[in-house]
Amino acid sequence: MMQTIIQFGRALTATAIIAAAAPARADTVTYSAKTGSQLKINGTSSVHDWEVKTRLIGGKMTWDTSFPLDPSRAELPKLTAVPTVSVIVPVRNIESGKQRMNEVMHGALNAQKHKYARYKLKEIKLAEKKRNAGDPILFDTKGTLSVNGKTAPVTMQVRIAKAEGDKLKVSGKVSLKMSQFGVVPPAPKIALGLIKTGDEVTVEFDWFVAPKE
Amino acid sequence: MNTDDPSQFNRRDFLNSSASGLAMAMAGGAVLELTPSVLGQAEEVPKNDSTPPVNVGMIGCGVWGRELLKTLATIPSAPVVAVSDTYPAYLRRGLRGAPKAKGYPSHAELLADENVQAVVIATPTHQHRDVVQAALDAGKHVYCEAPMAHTIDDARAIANAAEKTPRLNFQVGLQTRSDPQRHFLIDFVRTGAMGRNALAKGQWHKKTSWRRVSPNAARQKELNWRLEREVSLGLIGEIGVHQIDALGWFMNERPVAVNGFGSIIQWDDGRNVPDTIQAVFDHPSGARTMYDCTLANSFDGSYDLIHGSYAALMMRGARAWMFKEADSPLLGWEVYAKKNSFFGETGIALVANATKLTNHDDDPNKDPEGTKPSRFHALEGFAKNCHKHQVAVEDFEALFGDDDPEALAEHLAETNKNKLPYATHQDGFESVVIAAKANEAILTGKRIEWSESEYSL
Repeated sequence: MMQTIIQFGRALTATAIIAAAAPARADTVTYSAKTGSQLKINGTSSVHDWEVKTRLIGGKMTWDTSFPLDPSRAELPKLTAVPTVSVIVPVRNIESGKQRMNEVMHGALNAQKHKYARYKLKEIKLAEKKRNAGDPILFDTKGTLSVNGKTAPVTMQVRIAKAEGDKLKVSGKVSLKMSQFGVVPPAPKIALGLIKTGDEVTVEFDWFVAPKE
Repeated sequence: MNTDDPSQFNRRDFLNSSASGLAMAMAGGAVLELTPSVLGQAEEVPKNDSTPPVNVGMIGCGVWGRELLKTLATIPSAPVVAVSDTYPAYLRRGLRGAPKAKGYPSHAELLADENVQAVVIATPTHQHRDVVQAALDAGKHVYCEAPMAHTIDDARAIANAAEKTPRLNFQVGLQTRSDPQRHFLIDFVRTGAMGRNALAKGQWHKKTSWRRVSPNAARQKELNWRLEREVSLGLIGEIGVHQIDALGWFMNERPVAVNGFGSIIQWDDGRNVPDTIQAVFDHPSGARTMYDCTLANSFDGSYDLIHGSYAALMMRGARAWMFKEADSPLLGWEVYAKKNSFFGETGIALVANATKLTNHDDDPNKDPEGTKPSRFHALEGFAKNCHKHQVAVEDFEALFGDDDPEALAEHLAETNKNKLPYATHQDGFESVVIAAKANEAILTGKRIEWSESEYSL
């Protein structure tokens, strides 16, 4: 009997410890990157338009549970806290499909020194007042992007949609200037003279995440 | 005789041999010209190659290994940091070709060197299996010379080992597969401009004993492994494998039967490997490839030729000509292309840098100025592909950890699509299947048939 009481007491203590610790954990849910993502960068040049891409997008995001990321809901609660979102893209894996262009691009992005492009979310608000259940949730966001060791602000609309299983698809599109990040638009020499690359590029991404196990 | 003269013994030197004027004269064709814009590549070789170097170890410093060392010395992204050979004199010579490298008396010791990231294996063919396995076990990227093995069993074991280690870049030295000029040609062939393949022909002629000399009898026996059928696929394996592989690649079909013939005509010196061979391969479409190789006569050197119903394509070194039939559709550009006439036939030139005026006046009997040998492209591609592979693994694991090998393998399969062109373990395996079947036909004088399923690992 005494042993049962002791065991019960231990269990109670353990529960109390878990309960005390629980609020911090139960308040948030963290989503981590999954494979299958894609990021494309489109640009222009004096010869032709170009596109480079990567399938590697890493990172994670942590949301307050008071704002469930559930696109199937028609009504969404107020967004009270800025979620922590950090995204990482390995620059050396950005691929053009052509070796020489890869060399020019990776050289321009200083990929050996700054191996990763990093994004951090700073501000966020819901972009729509009304929504239909099942549609992607739209957000207006402000954040910072670090490329080539330089950081610049980035403003874009982001959509979060339901994907396969428990995955979410986070998508966005934004125009950026290479010069914002100290990147000199490449001008490689070719047979007929110089190719001049336009400063402005469009970055488009589909980032797949799932609740961290 | 200088036994180390590569021109005498180089089993792959047909790829570098320039076309003989007479043979070209017999041909007559339109030269397919390669331009950087056609290739989609910038013309200028980058002075500041941004691809970081991959440290290379050379295993086997024989005649061919030292040729590879010479080529590697011209490739900034492939510094040779170690060489190994079991024969001290060859190791010394290897070190002369790579003065900054460490020398090791065995491949095992070289593989233990953590500074070595990738190895080029140029040992005798029958040693490839053990060395490749050891290299993959040691976590090194591998470039295995062709033929990949001297038996189908060994080739399968090597290919399976490569497949089981997707984290490492594995390439086979079927260097024609890496040559940008051949890639230009194959794009042209794939347009269907040649019509239906009727027949193909490959040849390699050179008067040379293929025997290497050493003052030490035991060493001499070891050196002349190519002359013993127990460990060598003979001429079809050591030379023909490159041409047969390239012809099958161009024709887009693998052979399924072969008739072979072999004789010792000129060099009856105790060898049991024929010095003159012929093989006729049957393809599923009904087209055949004829291959002949002799060490008894040099006339007409080496070339590959495909006859299609609209045009024939002749490839000699870095040059190629198309000979059109009167009823073939007009392509348009051939009106402006450079042409060479021989024996009443007009060949349209298919060669690099067509837009360069200087090249319009060059000697069609020689490779165009500045042409790099296939092995340069194969080795440079190997170094750059190793780097790409390594980065793909590092970045994937930095993002997703190392506990999902399937997802990593999927990512690497995507990465492989963007590598510089190379011969895969599957290409290497298939080329050994073909060479081994042909060698069996040559040695027995019998027709050998096999099914497409024998190309599966």
